[in-house]
Amino acid sequence: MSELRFNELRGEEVVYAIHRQERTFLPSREHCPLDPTRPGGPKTEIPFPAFEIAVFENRFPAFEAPRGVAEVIVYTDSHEGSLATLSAQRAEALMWVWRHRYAELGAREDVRYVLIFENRGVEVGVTLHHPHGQVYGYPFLPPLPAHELRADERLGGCALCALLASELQDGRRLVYESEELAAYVPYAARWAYEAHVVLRGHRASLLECDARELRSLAAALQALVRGYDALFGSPFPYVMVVHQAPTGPAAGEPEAGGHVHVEFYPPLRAAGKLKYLAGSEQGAGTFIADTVPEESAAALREAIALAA
Amino acid sequence: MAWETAEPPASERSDLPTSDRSERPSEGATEEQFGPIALARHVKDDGRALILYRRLGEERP
Repeated sequence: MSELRFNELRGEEVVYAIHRQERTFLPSREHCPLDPTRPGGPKTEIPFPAFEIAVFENRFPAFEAPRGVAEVIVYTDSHEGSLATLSAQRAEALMWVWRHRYAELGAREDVRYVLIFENRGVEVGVTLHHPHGQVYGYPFLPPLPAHELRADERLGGCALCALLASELQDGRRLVYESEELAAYVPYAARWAYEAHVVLRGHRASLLECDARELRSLAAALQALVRGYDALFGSPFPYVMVVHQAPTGPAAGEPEAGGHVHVEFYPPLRAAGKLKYLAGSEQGAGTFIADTVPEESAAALREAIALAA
Repeated sequence: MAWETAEPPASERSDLPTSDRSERPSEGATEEQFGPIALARHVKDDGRALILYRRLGEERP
């Protein structure tokens, strides 16, 4: 069982999940726990010979009932590939799975915030290469979603709507557009190739998106990841997170805030060069960037077009 | 990290025996519909929940 401790100096919760030290770490191809269980083969987390998308409770959870939940979402029974290489139909189905997990976990009394995310690449600490993501149901509102709610207050309305309008008007940092959404490197991106994928319509969560928006979101995420991979000619590491409205007592109310969007935080600042969180970032909380978003966006836009 | 070359997932491969191409809900598992997907709930040996999702509208093996 994890333990929460409130860090008074930072004003935030810290989660101690010491059992995670024992989690499976970069197993051999033959012993991937996210593969299907094939006849005569080793038993895996999914005791079926084939599946489309699987979700299960994490064996090494950061959160567990009655104080939250941690799940694994396996995108495919194929060990190889990535979000970018899924069929369009599978990627679209994944959006519905995300929506379902948000609805189901968000309805729990012990979950205050549902975070769907994917870590890709050893550069961001991936321990299993099989295409998969995760869901954490936090028993509290974490700092970043809380920051976004404060941005709503500061800007006197939905911050994402205002930022999207600004990016669309400027245009220099846009990297992808469809009728339903736009993707851009934010004006004040922290990471060199950070990108945000934002629905044009104000949708608090995936539950408010229609089928066309979900299909468009899947297409945008795949286009973006393909573009990332084309950027330096190799699989691009990233952290991808889905930000939605907090859940709990105020869920569904306008004051609950939230505008569903997906954020990518790639750690590379150039081919083969990682951006480290060092003195200023850790000691002062201020990012020092080595690139300007307009130039990164131009390169990423070109890579997405190249990969299309 | 090496280039990741996608191979068709087992659930979409035609070279597997028909019974291996899609999950079958375990005994007692019933499918629920959620939009264009269906889900079947299972309980793993150690008590953890497992949900298998599949797209609707496609012929099941």
